[in-house]
Amino acid sequence: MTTAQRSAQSRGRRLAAQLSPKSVATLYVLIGLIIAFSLWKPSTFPEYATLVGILQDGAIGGLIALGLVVPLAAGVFDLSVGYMLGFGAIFAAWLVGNTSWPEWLVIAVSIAACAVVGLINGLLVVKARISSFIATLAMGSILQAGIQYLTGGQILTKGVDRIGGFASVNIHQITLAPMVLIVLAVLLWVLMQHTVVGRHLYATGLGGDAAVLAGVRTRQLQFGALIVSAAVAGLAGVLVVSNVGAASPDTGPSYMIPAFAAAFLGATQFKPGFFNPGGTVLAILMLQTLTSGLALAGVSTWVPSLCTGVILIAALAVGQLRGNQLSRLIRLRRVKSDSAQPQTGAEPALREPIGAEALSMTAPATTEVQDVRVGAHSPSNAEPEERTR
Amino acid sequence: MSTVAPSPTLLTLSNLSKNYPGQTALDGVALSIAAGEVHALLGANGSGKSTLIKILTGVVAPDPGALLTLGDVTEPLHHGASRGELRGMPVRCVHQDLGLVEALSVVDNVALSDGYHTRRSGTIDWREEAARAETLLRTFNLPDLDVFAPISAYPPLIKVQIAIARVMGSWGSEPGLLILDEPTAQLPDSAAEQLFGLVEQIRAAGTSVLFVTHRLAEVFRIADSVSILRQGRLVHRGRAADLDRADLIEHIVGERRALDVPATGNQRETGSEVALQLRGLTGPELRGADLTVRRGEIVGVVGVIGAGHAALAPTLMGLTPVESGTVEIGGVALPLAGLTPTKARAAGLAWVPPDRKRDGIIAGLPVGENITIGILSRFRVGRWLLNSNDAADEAVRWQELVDLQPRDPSRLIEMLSGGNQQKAVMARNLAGEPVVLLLSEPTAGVDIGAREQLYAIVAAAAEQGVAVVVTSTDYGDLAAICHRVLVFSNGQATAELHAPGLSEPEITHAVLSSEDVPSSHAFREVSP
Repeated sequence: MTTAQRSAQSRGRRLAAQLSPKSVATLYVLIGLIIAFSLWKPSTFPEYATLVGILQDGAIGGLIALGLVVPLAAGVFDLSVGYMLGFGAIFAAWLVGNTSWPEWLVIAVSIAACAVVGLINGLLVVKARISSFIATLAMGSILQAGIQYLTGGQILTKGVDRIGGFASVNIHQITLAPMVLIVLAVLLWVLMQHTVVGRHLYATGLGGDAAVLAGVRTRQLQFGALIVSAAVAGLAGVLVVSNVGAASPDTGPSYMIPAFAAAFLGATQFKPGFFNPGGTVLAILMLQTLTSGLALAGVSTWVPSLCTGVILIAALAVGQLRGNQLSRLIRLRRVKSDSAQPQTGAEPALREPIGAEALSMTAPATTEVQDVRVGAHSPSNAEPEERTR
Repeated sequence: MSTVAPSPTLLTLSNLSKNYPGQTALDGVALSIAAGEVHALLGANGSGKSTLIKILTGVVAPDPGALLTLGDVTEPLHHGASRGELRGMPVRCVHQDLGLVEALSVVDNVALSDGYHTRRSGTIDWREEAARAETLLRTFNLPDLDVFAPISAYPPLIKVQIAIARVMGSWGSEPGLLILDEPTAQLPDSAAEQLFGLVEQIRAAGTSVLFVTHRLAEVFRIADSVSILRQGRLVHRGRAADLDRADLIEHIVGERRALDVPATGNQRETGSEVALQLRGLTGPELRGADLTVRRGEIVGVVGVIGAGHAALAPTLMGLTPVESGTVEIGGVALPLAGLTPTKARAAGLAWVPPDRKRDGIIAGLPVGENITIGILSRFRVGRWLLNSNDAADEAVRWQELVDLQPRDPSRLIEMLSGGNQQKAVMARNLAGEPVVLLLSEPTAGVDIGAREQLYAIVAAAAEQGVAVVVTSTDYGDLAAICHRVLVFSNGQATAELHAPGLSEPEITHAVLSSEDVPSSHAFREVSP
């Protein structure tokens, strides 16, 4: 029986499994939220305008969350996406105010500028082998400097209406941003699930050195992934400017935490353990429904932030429990109790060059923190047969 | 060697067994160590030495029934909560990796094990700490070191001495047992001699030393008595003076069940076409290594730690830099500058690495994808899209070829047994249709049934013309499957053994003889 036949047979069962609460708990939470808010605020929540608002507000965070899926799948963080979004927005606004370039060129150049910053991120992580966590964090600060330089701390409005035309594009009031989000999600789904590049991205994030030896170009993939997340953040920035009609130097950072929450929560959905675009879109919808619903209900402004933080931690905890790709990323390098355990390095970039450890059969073992105590046993020099038990 | 009058027994362990699921590590072993003696513990890899040390240091509990005799009292060996002692008597161990934090100073390393001395204010009294470290160095006749310099600055000998002194410094004067687990493995011979001075000083102070080594010459140099383990059993116990080198080797090697690999046929003709040609390969551990392997040939490479045999595969895969030399694969020169695993694979190399869990399997990915990950681009539709069904069919085909259980390609690979994981890694490498298959410890942690299957797969690949280069510490396996076995020493092949007539004792003997060639042990120093 070929796989094609088998997969045809089990398609129904797979669909059922996909829709089970275990696979898409977030979907049921989302439905529950909609029911709850509809009962709580029957006059304001169950309205078409609310849906439009949720889609509009969620789309921007959703876009950078989708962009994040790519580097996260490849095992690298991009903490610069928030400022990257802000930089893309400010740069576009600055260009329309200070040049007479056509709108399409302004948009293209703004996104390209962010892609170039992403390229620098890639160089820092892949070539200079700096931890992606730290490198992109630092890049965020540099981007903020760029934002302050271009704006002088002022909100840019001059000429911004030139690119505001996009904001008026809509289908039944649903604007461009949610549409871009859906298109990007579909593109990413094809990329991650149905291309060699996508499968190699996951192998990069999961396998590290094993993936390298299997012939996966892990460094090129991580490099490319950081460019993708940066360009997507730049695109999101342009959409923000076109929507708002002005560019504030404060735009950006507030989108980052929800985006990470969505990406990590998304990685517990549909394909648990894998950062995936479907789960991410579902997660951002749920998060935005919660935030918008709470806003409509008139709760204090600190409540939505609290909820986002709690949900991010909950998603991480679930990922940790399942011991999957998530936990590889979020767990700090553990002091190993046994050298035979798979390495759960926080970061491929932080790890030793593979050559040093590939020879570990002959030159046993880096000193481990646990062995500081004299007489504490380190099994790392156990004999090969015994250490794999 | 020293002759000592019969001295009182420090401790006796008896009826020591340890069974792991599917494997017996220790089987009714007895160990008796006299007060103030150096007792050598010998045995091949997997003979149970590590387990015995783990039991002594309290890391692993023995199976019920083990007895410990201290003085006149014999009681069951309870696995106490506190490590580093047996019924109150100190048992300390310096492992081969020393347990020092390289980036920290002597002072810090000493204080990390003994605790920092603080002033009343709670701050560390650095002058007091420095004095303590300096006293320690003087007590054990170490040179005058800068105790605030990072330990990484010092040569290997100093590090070993510091690690030992650190243990002894916190000891006091009560009798006890110091376990030195291959302390000389990373030392050049001249430094080993200096280390023995320290061991003798410790013995003279009345402490017993359990000395683990693979270098037999050291046994006669330093040990008073010897215990030899083989396959979890104590096969010999006696005074070192009563033995010679041949005795030791015979006890260590013994006889064992031969591997049954019907398909191997290492008498089979090999092709005449050269698949792999190394000339003067020099890099970490390798010093001008030459090697010629023909298509269809299975060549074993063996040696003591650091001899260079284990460095061949990672070097050929581009993981460690090459200083000089040439490599040809199927007659085509392999560019060694800027070599990466991807380029090495494209040139026809494939490697099954020794650390399966870390470098072999991709945990989190299903078995099927673990097999096909390296050849996915064969299943493209057009330029970008992947035909997942074709890839899955290929994975299923390989699962059947290597008899991987269970046959479910969607199972996460980490859920499989070690043998089946290794079959998947083997399948991934063979799926790439290599010219040369490099295997490093391919059967580590694999039970005998799966081992035979793995070697049958290797033999079948060789039958189809793949050249195989395999390192294994299991010399019996090598004897069963290899056409030739090359013994490495000092970074190059120094002896060659041929089938038919290959045997485990012959290989072991050749390896143990090769250690007499002084080696530079340069690798540790040049590695990043």
